[in-house]
Amino acid sequence: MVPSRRRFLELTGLAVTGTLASSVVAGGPKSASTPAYDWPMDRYDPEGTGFNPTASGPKDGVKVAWSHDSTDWFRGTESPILLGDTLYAVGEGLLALDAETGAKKFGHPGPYQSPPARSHSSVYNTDTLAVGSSAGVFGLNADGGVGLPLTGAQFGVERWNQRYETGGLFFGPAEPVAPVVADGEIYTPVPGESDITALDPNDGETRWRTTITEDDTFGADFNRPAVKDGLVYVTYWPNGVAALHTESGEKHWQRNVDEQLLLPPIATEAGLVVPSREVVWLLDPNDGTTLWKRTLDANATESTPAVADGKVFVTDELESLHALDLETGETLWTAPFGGATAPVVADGVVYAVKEGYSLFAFDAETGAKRFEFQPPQVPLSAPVVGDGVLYAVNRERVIALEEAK
Amino acid sequence: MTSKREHGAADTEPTASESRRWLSTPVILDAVKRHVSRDPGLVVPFMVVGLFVAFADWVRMRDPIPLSASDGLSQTFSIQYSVFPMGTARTARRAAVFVDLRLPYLVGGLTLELLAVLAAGVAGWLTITRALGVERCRSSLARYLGGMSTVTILPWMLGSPSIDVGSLVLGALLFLTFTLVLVRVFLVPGFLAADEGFKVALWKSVRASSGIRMTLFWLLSLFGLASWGLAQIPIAGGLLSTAVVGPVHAISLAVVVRQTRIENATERDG
Repeated sequence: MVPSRRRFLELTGLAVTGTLASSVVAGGPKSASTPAYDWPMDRYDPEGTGFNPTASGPKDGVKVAWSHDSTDWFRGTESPILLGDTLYAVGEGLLALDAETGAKKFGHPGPYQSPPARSHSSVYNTDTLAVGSSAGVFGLNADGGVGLPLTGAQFGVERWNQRYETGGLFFGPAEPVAPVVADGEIYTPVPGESDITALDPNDGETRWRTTITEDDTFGADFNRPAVKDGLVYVTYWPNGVAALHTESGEKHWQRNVDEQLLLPPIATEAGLVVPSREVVWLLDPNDGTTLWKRTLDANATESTPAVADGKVFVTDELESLHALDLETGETLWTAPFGGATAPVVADGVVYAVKEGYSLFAFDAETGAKRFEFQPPQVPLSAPVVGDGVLYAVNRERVIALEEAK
Repeated sequence: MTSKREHGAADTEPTASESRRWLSTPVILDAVKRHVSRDPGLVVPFMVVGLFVAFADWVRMRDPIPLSASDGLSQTFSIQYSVFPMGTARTARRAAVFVDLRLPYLVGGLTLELLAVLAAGVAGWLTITRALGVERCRSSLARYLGGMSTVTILPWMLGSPSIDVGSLVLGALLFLTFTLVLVRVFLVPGFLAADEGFKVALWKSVRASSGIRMTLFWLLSLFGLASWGLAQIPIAGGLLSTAVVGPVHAISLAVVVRQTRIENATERDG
């Protein structure tokens, strides 16, 4: 029997109805509450503080609570993130572990390089993890999709990818920068280019893309952006700082500072902290003017400061870790610490991994050293802090560190 | 020997006994042209499907479900081989993006994908049966749609079988092997539409392709290339690819299948 025209129209109508229904629901909630111990992205929050005010880690010494080293393809150097009872680590793929035991929940090899950032999706029942690579940004299913029997493979992990045709930087492929998620959008530099872009977490589509420096042949070499109060702040080679509107990507202000080799910015209530090789600035977030400038005897080229409870924790990469007053830039304390680090802070303790091989803990109030821990493998990533536990990526393994009894 | 002319074909078409010689690519395309001139209604089904493909492209571009460009469209050069007559859409969705979708999106998205396949299947079946002048029956439609679903939906769900080959020689070898298989099964949709069962259609396709493998190879390549090339055209690519390549492919199948049937009848009579 020949299918009738009416039947065909009915089927077409069903498809249209379903699609339109999709569009209506698309206006759903874009954000949800974050459990207290979640560490949803690199440097904890969109501002890039590295400080979780509700988490608490070991204080007087650590021992390995568990170690996961049975995933053969995993090689990681970047910090993990923690969402509920799942720890996600990236290193030649995405690895999801039970935060309590270290048991593998799922793994998916892929070209993923940066720490992931959790974004809520209005079209999916599960969160999407935005992960950077030197080729672009990937949107991954935080639940791992469907496990395929016998093969151990996962189906439906990769939801979207935003690949860029990039020329790379002068010395090779662009280093991937961790995406930042804020107010339901993903903000990230375009690898190897001079652009910052905002992506839709649902499908990875570009919401806006803004060129920061028009005359840069090899890309601006951006650091991790910081997002706060409707502005995206970026620092880039050699000495540029810019603020863009999160809604449109339009430049709010842009300036050059009188020092090269800028490090990732941190957005705070007091202003925008901009570190560089020798200088730390606090800039007015509204117009970029200097609120204070502090010169250190430093050679910081790879570090990222943390900000917590009115203090900026920054290393000079020579011999000290400094705590600066966020309001004035004055030194509150200085502790012996020679090397690059990206410290994190929780419950009055600063955790700083020196040059990727040794974890130090300092009292955030006094700078007194509380403990040091050296794992057998290097490098050790910057840790994230959960409920009394530190989590870190340690080359071929992922480890959890708990208070030593 | 019986000199039996193909029903409805032009007067210049040769007898069955000359079939292996005259079934060249230009002759088949010429026969397609004459079919369409005589019966313009043959292009209507794929015209409608082309509009639906363009609509589906439009919806995919605007809804919030992740999207990918059609496999071939991201390449500098591609041949979009297809055993069953259809075009190339400008947009596509991998099956993986449907995992964990919220229900309205899942229903809407899957319906769109399934309708696109179903519509192309019905259009192909309508066009082939009309060009063949055979009686339409539910069983042939079911078999045609079943066959088409198998070769389109299953690979879609399992992942697109695309291979990136660095070596030119290896690439050429794989290409030849792949096209040899395709040539042998090229006529399966035509025989399915003519109400043959799956096994018989496959067997007849393999048998009927003997002697005209180069002709079928050029047809396949031509359709694949045209499908890809037309789909490159912005906005209207999906419509053009489907509305042009679909009917030509379907009527070509009808031309060859009909000629095979004439040959078989001649052999039986002889």
